[in-house]
Amino acid sequence: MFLIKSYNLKKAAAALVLLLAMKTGGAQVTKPDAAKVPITGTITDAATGKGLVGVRVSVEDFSAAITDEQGKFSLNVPSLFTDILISGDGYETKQVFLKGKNSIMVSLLDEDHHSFQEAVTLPFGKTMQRQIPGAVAKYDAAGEWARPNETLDALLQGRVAGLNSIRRSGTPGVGANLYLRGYNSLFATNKPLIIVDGMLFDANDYGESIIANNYTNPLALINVQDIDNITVLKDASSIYGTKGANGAIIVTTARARQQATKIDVGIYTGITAVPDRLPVMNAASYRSYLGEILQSKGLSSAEVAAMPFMVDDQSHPEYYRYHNNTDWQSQIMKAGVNRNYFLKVTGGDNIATYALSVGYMKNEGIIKNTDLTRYSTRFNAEFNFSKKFTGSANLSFTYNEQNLKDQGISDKTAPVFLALTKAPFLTANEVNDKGVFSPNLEDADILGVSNPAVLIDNMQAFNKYYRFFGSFKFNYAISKTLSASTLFGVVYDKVRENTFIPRKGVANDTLGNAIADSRLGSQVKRLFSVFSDSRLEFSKVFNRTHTLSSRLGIRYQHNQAEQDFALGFNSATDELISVQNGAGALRQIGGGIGEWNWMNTYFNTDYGFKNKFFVSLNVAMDGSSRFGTEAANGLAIGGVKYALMPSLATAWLVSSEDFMKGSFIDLLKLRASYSFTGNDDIGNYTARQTYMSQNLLGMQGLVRNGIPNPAIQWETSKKLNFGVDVSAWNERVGISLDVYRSKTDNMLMYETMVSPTGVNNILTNEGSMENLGFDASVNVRVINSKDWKWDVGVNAGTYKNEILTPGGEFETEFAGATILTKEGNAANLFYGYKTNGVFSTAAEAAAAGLQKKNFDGSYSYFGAGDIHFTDLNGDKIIDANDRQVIGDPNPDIFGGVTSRLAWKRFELNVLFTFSAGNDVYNYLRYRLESASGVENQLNSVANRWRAEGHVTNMPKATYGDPMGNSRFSDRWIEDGSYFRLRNVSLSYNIPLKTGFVKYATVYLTGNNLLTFTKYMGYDPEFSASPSVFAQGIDTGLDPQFRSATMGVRIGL
Amino acid sequence: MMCRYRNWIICLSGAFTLFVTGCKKQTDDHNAITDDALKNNLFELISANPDLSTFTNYLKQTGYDQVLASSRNYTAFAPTNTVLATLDPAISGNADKLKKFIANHLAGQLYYTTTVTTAARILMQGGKYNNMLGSKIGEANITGKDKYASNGVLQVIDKLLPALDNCWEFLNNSPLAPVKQKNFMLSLFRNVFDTTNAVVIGVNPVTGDPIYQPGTDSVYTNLFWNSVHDLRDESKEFTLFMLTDAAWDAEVNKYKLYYVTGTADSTTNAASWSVVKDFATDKVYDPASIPDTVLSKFGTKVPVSASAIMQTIKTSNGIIYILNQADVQPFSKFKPYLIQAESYAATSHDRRGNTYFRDRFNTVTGKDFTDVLVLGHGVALFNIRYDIREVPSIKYKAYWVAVNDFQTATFTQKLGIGTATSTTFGYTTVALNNFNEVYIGEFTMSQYRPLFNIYLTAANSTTAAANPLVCDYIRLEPSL
Repeated sequence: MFLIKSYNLKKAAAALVLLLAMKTGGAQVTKPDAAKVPITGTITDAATGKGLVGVRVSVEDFSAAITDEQGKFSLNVPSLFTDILISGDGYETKQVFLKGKNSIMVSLLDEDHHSFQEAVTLPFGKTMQRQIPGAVAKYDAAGEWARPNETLDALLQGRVAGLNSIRRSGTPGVGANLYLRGYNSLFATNKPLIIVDGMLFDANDYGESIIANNYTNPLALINVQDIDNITVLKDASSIYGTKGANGAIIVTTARARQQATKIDVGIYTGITAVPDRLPVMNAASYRSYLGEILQSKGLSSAEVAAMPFMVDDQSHPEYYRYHNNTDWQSQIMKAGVNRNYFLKVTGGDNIATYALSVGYMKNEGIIKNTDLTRYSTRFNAEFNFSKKFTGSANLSFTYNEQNLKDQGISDKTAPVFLALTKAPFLTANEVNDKGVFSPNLEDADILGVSNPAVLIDNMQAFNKYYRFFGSFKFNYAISKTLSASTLFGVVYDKVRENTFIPRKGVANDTLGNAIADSRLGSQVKRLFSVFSDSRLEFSKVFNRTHTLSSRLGIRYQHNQAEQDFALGFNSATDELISVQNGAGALRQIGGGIGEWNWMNTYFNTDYGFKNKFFVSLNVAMDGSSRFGTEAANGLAIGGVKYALMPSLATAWLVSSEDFMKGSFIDLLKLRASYSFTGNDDIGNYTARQTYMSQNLLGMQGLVRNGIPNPAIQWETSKKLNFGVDVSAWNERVGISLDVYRSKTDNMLMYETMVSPTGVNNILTNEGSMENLGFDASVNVRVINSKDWKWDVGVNAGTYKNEILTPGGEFETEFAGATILTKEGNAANLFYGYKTNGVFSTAAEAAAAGLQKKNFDGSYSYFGAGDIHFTDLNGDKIIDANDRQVIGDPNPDIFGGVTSRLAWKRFELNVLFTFSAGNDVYNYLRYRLESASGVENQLNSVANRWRAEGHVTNMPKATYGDPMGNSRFSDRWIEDGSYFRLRNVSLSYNIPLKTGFVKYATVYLTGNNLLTFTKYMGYDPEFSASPSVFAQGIDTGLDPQFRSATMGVRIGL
Repeated sequence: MMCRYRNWIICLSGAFTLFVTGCKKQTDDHNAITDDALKNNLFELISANPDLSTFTNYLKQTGYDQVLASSRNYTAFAPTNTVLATLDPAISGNADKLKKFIANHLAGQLYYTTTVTTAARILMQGGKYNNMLGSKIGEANITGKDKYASNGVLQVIDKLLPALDNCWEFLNNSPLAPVKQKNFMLSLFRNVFDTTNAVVIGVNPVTGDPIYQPGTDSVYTNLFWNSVHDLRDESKEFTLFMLTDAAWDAEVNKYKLYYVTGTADSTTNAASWSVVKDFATDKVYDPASIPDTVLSKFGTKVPVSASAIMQTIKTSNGIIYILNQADVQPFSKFKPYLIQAESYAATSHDRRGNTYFRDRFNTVTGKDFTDVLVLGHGVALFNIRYDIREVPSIKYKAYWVAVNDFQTATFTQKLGIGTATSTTFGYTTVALNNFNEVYIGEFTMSQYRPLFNIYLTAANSTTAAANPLVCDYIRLEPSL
């Protein structure tokens, strides 16, 4: 379904070429200065102070020299206000401004040191960071030999200022939700665009998993050992048009750095540790609690005493069944084992170089019988067909297999939730009247709770997914200054899921027309996408003063996504586990098809003046099948609306100015940028009238599916950024600061419709939101001696999110929480009741005189043992009007601290991550402290109010909680701040005589070893959904865990 | 230079270690028991109170110390040492009695003085109940209120909670119980069909009914328990009136007149039953506030004059009054029979196709009613049978309401007393559209009948217009 039918390419291209011509015309240059000024200098090692021999010193396209044994050189330069480039093997490459001196002393740091001198991969190739006018961060993954089990999204945690990477859960490979500089949208995606080797990497999940609260992470299909480097574009990413609103992450995978054949082998094995258990009640405390709950339910003393778990007579036939003390958490969790094998071969000749890698990984989760197995292959090659005609290929195929379990809010089937709430006096296995245990597992118990051990042993939930991701690129150098290139790529992705939940041991589920005992499911999701990117590139240096490079190009993407699922119920026996065995009448079949096209015409010009003033202009014009024809904004060409996305970024390298020549500052760069970007995640067919099938008394028909909005358009994000980069102390200190404002206009909102329309709401572009923020990163080489090297880095980001939509106030319900979105506030505030403890006496409650309205319209007074809610409006009635903002899930500050300590052949890398000031709604604790049902509770519930005068903060236990003591209130809001030793890795490079094995490094790595937090759940880090409204809500997903990995890398 | 850094590193790592060890997990604080009282179980709480040392000792003697230390929830009503000193040595010296006594101080759930705000009957461990309201349990006041422990609550009381006999136990065991009424009540044991514990050994091939193993399909039970009140039931409270032997004889003799049978014994039995069935109520009447007339389960007015009360006995499930007179008036005892005509027991012929159950509006009373009409049945002397039970030998006046609104002609029908063709009454004409009660006449029961038949008989004609049967109800009014 090609929706852009009348696209007039010629017309658009002509306009852009004209623009290019005007631009180059404006950059007219003076004649080159023929003067040659001789300079001399000494290059030394910064650690030892000794002169370095064989270091190349050059002025681009002008002159070059090599240092002698003392590190001295002499060179002719065009002027004393020019940059010279110094590069030596094993040392960082450095561009030095002469500052008018004819003799310079330069000391070089080792190549492991990070500074603004490094080259950064940008959308159009590598650029030295000191010349980049935009806000860009870089992470050198370099194969991640020490942390091979990470995924791309989790890998970036604590590495990039302003990028908040929140790991979703502890499930292997599940990765993290990424938020770059706060939220840009409420209902569209907030995920940065991911580009792998020049091609869009679609990291969306098309259709929910049929495994409860599971997320199939496409980024788990990238082996981090294949990643060479990562660039994060925080702004000025308008070159990606309506896909760039959330910034972009550019990933470059492994390639050959030299032609000699190089073989790297990595072998790892590791263990995971079971997280600290939540302190739930033991059998004795639980039985007292249960007795109280049953009494409050209205059961008589005799009825309670007749319950089998209350009979303490050993001769009772069910005595042994109900008199145990089971630690259910240890029944479902166990320490797992990780294995990882990786082989990479690089090499080639002057015609072609290649990098080939094969990997196998198996990570066991901490929930028994969960794991992730990955088989990855990658082939990257670069060809020189001729001097002018070159090409490259990037092909990868990865196949993942996961064994999973339900998790999160899934009361009957999620082992973690069940392990916390299952009665501890029961056991996993059947037991007879003599107390002899059977290997058979118990059925669901008399309280109607599933047996978690059955879900561990007999539930099946597996997932197989693979992705082919490949592209070819061809370059042709038309002349010295003009070149053309084209990239063509294909993505084929498939996810297959199967589930089976047995009837024995699992509580029944209720369907619309039946009771479901066993549950079966199968799902297939497919994504097929074709991508191309073709461009003309012009690049020239005029008179050594003006550097200019421009690109004009077009990207095109065609996507087809499909989801099909079948759910079955009540297979005849638990041996029949595939979906076709479900009862015919109960079968449910569904799915979805999505097809969309995106075309992006772009123009880019990077201009540099005397290597100290830089301008980058980007313009993109986007067409998409998703945009409505009546969109209010954009350019109309042939009846189709195109989004026009310009951006301008400038930088001034102040340190290269004459007046800075005496300064101790090595580099001072001021940056400013303003960009328009867009978000096209508005739904494939929102602008169109769609129909859905409807069954009425056995007749099938089609009915209109809502009201189309032909004016639907992209969200527009306007980003203003000011930044400064500073380095000093021979670049041992590097500081980068950015302050930004990003404003989203035309933001998607669900507008409520009046009831005669027959639809509840319609998507419009009425919303508006902004973020004000600040990112900072500091890197310091603290110790730099011959044997000791110590780098310390800190990066942190903060943002303030604010809804600007006038009157656009609404509430969202998630996991029992109410989230308020209101003009002038952050987008996702927790909105509930404030509490002032528990009424200790009836007199205290009577003095407060608070009431609550019941369903039947009558009122009940809060009494002793009930929660004292704050009566905000003073009407003595606790109702929705008494709610207030009780928490903000957005952190005040988040980031990471890195440390790299090298001593001789040892290297210790440490990463701390932190998040401060973010509030968390502990849903799991709400369930474990609501004291209103037969579920087991936390030990803290033993403090429940018992009798008149009991001073406590835990209300009385009442079945069904008629007074709403457990309603969404600040009781469940906790400080989610944490400071975590996220990763520590020690490596030792074994000294070897040159032979068959060229080098060998041993790694010892620990993950999540220490976490400092006041948070009372398993772990303060989780992200139940990428939605803005689900942030900071702990739904009890499988928790994060500690792990340790030992590995060796061998170079052949 | 390196030394300087090394010291730094040592300092830093030292500080880090202190930081780590100094941190206490918030979770531990949050989950710690905040109230020391909750760290003890109920037995520990009781035994820690020096004023309850005797009770503690008794708990240990009876084994209830283990029970109160378990994780089940209990409320202990603990009498202080001073109060327990008054305990009858016959109880404290007898292990069984002591256990029964202690059990009557322990309840299997949590009862707080603040939550028991309406009178509640609380099941104690021995199976008996005590009445609790606020800070009063039985006769005792709760002096030390609502002291909670991890698995229960302690209420210190100022009086004993003796484990009394219940009403039936008193009747059965006590020498105080008047002999004649007691003997009669104990004579009411019968085997009664009850399949609760029956063992099915087969199925009758003809009827399809289950065949039960002999001896399992009935229970040996007392008619009084089933028909009046089960005086053994501890969970309820009863008032039982017992007559002294002389009063009993007088009262029975008074009623023999109304229970004429073939033998003197059966007359005595029927009269005795008639007397005793009104002597128990499921309501407790306190001696201080007992009214002069008590309404029985069957609506009979039982006069209770204060002077007639010889003795009052408190039981665990109510109270027993021993009276020397209870002059129950026959007109209060004998109730009219109201026979709904549509609820018949049988018909003489299968004429379901001709039988109509009609909803009508009575223009006289202004009420809706349902009647039965059998029209066009084509049988001479077609009749409908009604069963009435325990009919005393007295005179009755008979009335009916019969509405002839289905045809223009009148017709006749009659009441058959005992038989369908009985001549006690002749045929009565059913007038058109008469919604009034029609007086049929008087008849006298010569004998007491446990089961008696009344018939509605059609005219001796096969003509449809002449032989319909219609009736809303038949009323038999005692005429003493």
